[in-house]
Amino acid sequence: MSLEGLLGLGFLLLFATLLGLFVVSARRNSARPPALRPVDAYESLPNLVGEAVESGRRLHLSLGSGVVGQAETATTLAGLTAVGQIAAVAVVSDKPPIVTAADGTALLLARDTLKQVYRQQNAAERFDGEAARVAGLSPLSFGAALTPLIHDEAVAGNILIGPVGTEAVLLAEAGRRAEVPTLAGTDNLAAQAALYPAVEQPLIGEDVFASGAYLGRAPAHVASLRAQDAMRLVVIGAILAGVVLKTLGFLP
Amino acid sequence: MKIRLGNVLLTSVAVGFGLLTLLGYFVDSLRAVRVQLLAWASLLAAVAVLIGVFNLLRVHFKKMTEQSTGWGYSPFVVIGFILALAAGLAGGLFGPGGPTGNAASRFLFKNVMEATSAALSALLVFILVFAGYRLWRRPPTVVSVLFLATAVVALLGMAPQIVGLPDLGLRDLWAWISQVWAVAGARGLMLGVALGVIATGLRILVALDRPYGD
Repeated sequence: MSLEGLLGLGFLLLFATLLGLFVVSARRNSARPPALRPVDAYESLPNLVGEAVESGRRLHLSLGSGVVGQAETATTLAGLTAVGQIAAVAVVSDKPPIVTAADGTALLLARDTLKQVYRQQNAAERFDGEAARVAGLSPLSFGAALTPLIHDEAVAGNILIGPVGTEAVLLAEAGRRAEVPTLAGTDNLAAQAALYPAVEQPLIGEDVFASGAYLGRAPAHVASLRAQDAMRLVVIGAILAGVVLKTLGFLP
Repeated sequence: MKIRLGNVLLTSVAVGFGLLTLLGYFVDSLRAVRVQLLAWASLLAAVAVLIGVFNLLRVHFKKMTEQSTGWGYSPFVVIGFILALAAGLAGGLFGPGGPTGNAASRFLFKNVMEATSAALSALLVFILVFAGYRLWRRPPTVVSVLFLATAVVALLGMAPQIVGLPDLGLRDLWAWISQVWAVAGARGLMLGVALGVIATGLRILVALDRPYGD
């Protein structure tokens, strides 16, 4: 194994160990709510969901235009976590939420997640297989297909958490015209910059991966955030050490 | 707590294959296993693409038959699909160039796909300019002021210089912002995103998250 491979494996093992330790700690302290940095988008989400349920309209949840199996898989799965948690609250509405994806695998996962939510709410008979659907198979066609959805499906709010490019701005603009709030987060830097002025509640940076901790307060997700923070310190330390070593001439 | 045998099996398979694939990146002797597992995953992904296509068509056929709100767009989706499929099949079976390189597919791609994509991309520019304008009208925050000021400097710094007018050091300012501040900020964000990706992957690898089964 090369030195780089060894370092990579060591990094992952350290990350996994910290994750495990923080999970045990979070489960022990599960009675005490975790202190999390306020994120406006997540704080406004309960109101958005509540208003949609009360207005008798539906929520539109989107996993973005990523393909499961490619580099953006983790972001799609982070979106899927959000879909499960939001749907658990929103399925009581007269018009249950719809989920859009741009890939067959993401569609199957979304469908399965919705089905689980209905089953857990003892409402399996209300599950509609077409609530999860593929809106378009390429990023631009996906973005374009989301714009008429707001009127066609009587959408009360858009929540887009997943890998998506600047085409997400099309959905944000359609939402603004219809006076429907849009909450969006992605791992794509260009799209984050484009969404910042376009939506009221953008998710910046790694906030997109934090939905599980903020919405469900699940111990594993809270532990995951703490492990991320600890590893960030490790990376910052490694960068500073590299700078010092390079300056002193110990590194080529 | 009731534990289902099927779920245990699913979780074991997912965790086992996930760990094998991950180790394949680090341990040379497991590289062949990783390549084989990824090849199988590609096959499944190809089937998933078909599932996606059928779902898309099913949704639009249903909209057309029920004439539900906005059904007028659906025939275009279905006709476009049939045309693209016919061009690909005809090219693949009878003509030179294969399913995607034949004249009919290239014609559709160039005159429909490229043209509509370019139109949508151009539309994004206008939407972003208006979004910037609306941001300016919202109550200002430190971040929004910095965002707009940077955008204005970027636009002026990258615009062609008008002959006879001084550039007021905007080009140097933009170069400094884009090469120092923007790169530093982007790397910070990417670092956070990368840690988020690894954390999500690890949660699935150790079965803390199970997006498959109950």
